[in-house]
Amino acid sequence: MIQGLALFLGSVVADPPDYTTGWYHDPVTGQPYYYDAENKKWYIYAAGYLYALGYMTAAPKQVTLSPGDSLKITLSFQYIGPAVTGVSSRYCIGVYGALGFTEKVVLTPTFNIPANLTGTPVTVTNYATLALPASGVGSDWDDIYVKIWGGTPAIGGSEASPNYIFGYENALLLVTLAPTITEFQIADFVKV
Amino acid sequence: MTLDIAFSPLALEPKTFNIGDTIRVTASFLYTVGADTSVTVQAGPYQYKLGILDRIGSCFGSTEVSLPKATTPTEKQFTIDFILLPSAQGGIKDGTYGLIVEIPGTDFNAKQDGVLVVTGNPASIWDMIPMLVMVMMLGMIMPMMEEK
Repeated sequence: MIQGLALFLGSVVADPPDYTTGWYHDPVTGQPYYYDAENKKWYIYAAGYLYALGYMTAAPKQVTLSPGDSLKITLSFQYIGPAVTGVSSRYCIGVYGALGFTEKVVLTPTFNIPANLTGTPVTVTNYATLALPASGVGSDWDDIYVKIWGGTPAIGGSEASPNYIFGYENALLLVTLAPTITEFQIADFVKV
Repeated sequence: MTLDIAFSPLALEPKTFNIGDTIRVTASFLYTVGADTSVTVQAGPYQYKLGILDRIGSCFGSTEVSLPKATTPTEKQFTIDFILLPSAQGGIKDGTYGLIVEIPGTDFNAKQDGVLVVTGNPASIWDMIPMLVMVMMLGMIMPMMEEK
C-alpha cells in the first residue's frame, strides 16, 4: 500500500546571493526574516518577536503505515527564475529527537526545475516513494523531512547546510507486527 | 447546550454456577497489526489473596484468535470455554470469584470482580474438621460442668 504526504519548502531562488546580516523578505509572501551571517542562522519575525527558524514542525495529518508499505512524499515550492538542472534532494523517514534527526529510510534523487521567466511564481513539485522494510520497523519511525540544494545554476546551500529544508514531526502512525489492543471487554458469560 | 456523554462497558451481573459446569465467555477488543497473525486468549476465575490477583489456573480455558492485518482499529469478537473443576480434583472451591479474559504475557485484559458464584463441591472430611473439633471440645467440657 502507498500513502502520501506533501511538504512545502517555500520560495526557491536560483543563484542566490551571499546573505549578510540583516532583514530579508520572502518575495512571494512578504514574510520578514532576519539573518545572522556570523552564526549562519535565520530567524522569523512574528508578533514583535524573532524566532529561530527550525525545520521541523507538527504534521498537519497523520498517515498510517505498516511494515512493507510505501510513503510517497511530495515536495513543492514557489519558483521564479531560469531552468535549473541536477537539483539534489534528500527524502527521509526517521526519528527526530533531542539529538537531531536519525535517518532510517532515505532516497536521494535529483531533479530539474523548468524555467519560469514570467515574473509570476509557479509551483514546482517533485516526489519520492520511500518503502518501509518488511521487518525491523520501529513504532518511533514517525518523522519525515526533505531538503534540496545544488543544481546548475545552484539554488544555494549544501547537503550539510541546505537553504531549503522542511519536515514534519509525528507524521506517521506505524502499525507494527506486534498487535496493539484497546477496548478489551467481556460481553457475556453463560453455562453451555 | 453541550451533552457530555461517555460510553463504558456494561457491568456484568453475578451468576451462579455448579461445579462441573462449562462456562462460555464472549469477549471482544479493537486491534491494529501490521501483518496477519494470531494471539492466544485465555479466560477463567480469579480471587484476590492479600491484594494480589490469584488465578484459578486449573479452571482456565484458552483459544487461538486470528488477527488479519488491520491498519485501523478493527473489532474482533471471540468465545472461550472453561470448566469449573471440583476442588477435590485441584479445581475451584465454593465461593465468589472474578472473571478475567486476557492475552498471557501482555497487559491486555478485561476482568470483573465477584461475578462467578460457584457452588456444589461435595463436602469432604477436611471441610468437616472444624465442626468435628467443636463437637469434641463440647463433649469434653459438658461432662465437667455436670459434675459441679
